[in-house]
Amino acid sequence: MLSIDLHKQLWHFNLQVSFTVDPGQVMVLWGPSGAGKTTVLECISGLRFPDQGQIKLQQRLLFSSSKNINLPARKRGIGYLFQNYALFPHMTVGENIGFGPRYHKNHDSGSQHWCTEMMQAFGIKHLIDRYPFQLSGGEKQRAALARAMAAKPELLLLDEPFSSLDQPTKLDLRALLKEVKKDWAIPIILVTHDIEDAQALGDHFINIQEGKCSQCTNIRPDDVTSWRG
Amino acid sequence: MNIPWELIDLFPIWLSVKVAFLSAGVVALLALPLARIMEKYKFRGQDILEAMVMLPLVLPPSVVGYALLMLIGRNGLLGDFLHRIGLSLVFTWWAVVIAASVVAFPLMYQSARGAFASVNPDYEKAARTLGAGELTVFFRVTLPLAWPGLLSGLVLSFARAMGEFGATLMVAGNIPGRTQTIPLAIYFAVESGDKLTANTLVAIISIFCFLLILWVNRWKNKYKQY
Repeated sequence: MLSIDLHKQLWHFNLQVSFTVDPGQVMVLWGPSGAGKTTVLECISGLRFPDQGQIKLQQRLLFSSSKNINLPARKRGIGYLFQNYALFPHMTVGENIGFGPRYHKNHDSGSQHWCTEMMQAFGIKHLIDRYPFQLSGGEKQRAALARAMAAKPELLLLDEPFSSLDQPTKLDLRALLKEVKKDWAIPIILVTHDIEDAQALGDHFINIQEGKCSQCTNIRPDDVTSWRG
Repeated sequence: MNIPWELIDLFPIWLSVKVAFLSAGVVALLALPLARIMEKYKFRGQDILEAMVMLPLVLPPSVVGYALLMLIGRNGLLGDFLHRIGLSLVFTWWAVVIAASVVAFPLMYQSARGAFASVNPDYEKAARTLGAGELTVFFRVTLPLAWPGLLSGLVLSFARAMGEFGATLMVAGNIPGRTQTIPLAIYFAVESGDKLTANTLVAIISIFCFLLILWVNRWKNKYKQY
């Protein structure tokens, strides 16, 4: 289980977010641009630091301002899917996916086999020697997801993963994400603007506006228009 | 074309090439970490430090030469101490390397900063979340992606080091067989009416620099497909 309580002073407002996510559940974070959603993800993953608060994953304390604990990103075991995929352009798909397992604590000679399995599971084995610039949007997203999962994370963060994809590809990837949710049973946090993605994938929802969050359990179309306006 | 090679002193060519390689190497070793630090961290006095680093680029070479004399000349800050322990830098080929390095440094630094800035920070962030430590992030992600810009910087500083004249003349002098680089040799050959040496050296260095630029551009176009 992931439990978060964080405070961070940003440019225009004070970010204050607090929630928990159970394993195998998807928490949707949504709100207007600039509300602080990406900052929340970056704080959880260790790329940025809250001013105050606590982040606990399973039994591990990743961040605690009171106990002066602040694990660097590389030790947190958190998968992160960036909005623009962030696949290393100078490495092949195979090398991209193999990047994480090299640093996993259980790294062994079987990791090559593991990477092949991952590529198979995500339907990109045939792309192993291609470079990211040669892939379509959907293929890049699969590769990025496979790369994140290959590192065996205990939590998965997704920042607007389907924003620049067409509808058929989105449906494909939603199905893939549902499989990941089922097979890996880890907490997942999804940041999205797309109400359909949110409803299709989310189990719980948090609306973040100007740094403050409120819990909702079900999104209605009215909710969307209310914060869009 | 029959060139009477025995009439031309080719020492300047070997010296210039040696100095250019050494200077480019020294400058790369110093400028790369500095550019990385300046790009990654923000601290007080950063703009002042940067202005000082870039100064040799905008100052007249003779001013740079004068400043170097103040430093490593016989009565200079450092030179005085060296003189006492029996070492002398001025009017040796080491002074040529120092002068060339000082004027080439801003070029490498500027290219390196631009190169590091052009690397999308998301790649480095992704590497960190995948478990890579900072050194790994730098060598496996940042450096390969910054490489074309860094190579440009290397070539620019190599060329600048090779072409250094003013500061070199002041701290190293124009001693044939010891500190006479190609630019100095060409200048003094023209002064003394030695057209053969002047034409030969001009041709050699022009062809060399042209081929260098051609090779680097071709390589860059092939490397950066993404």
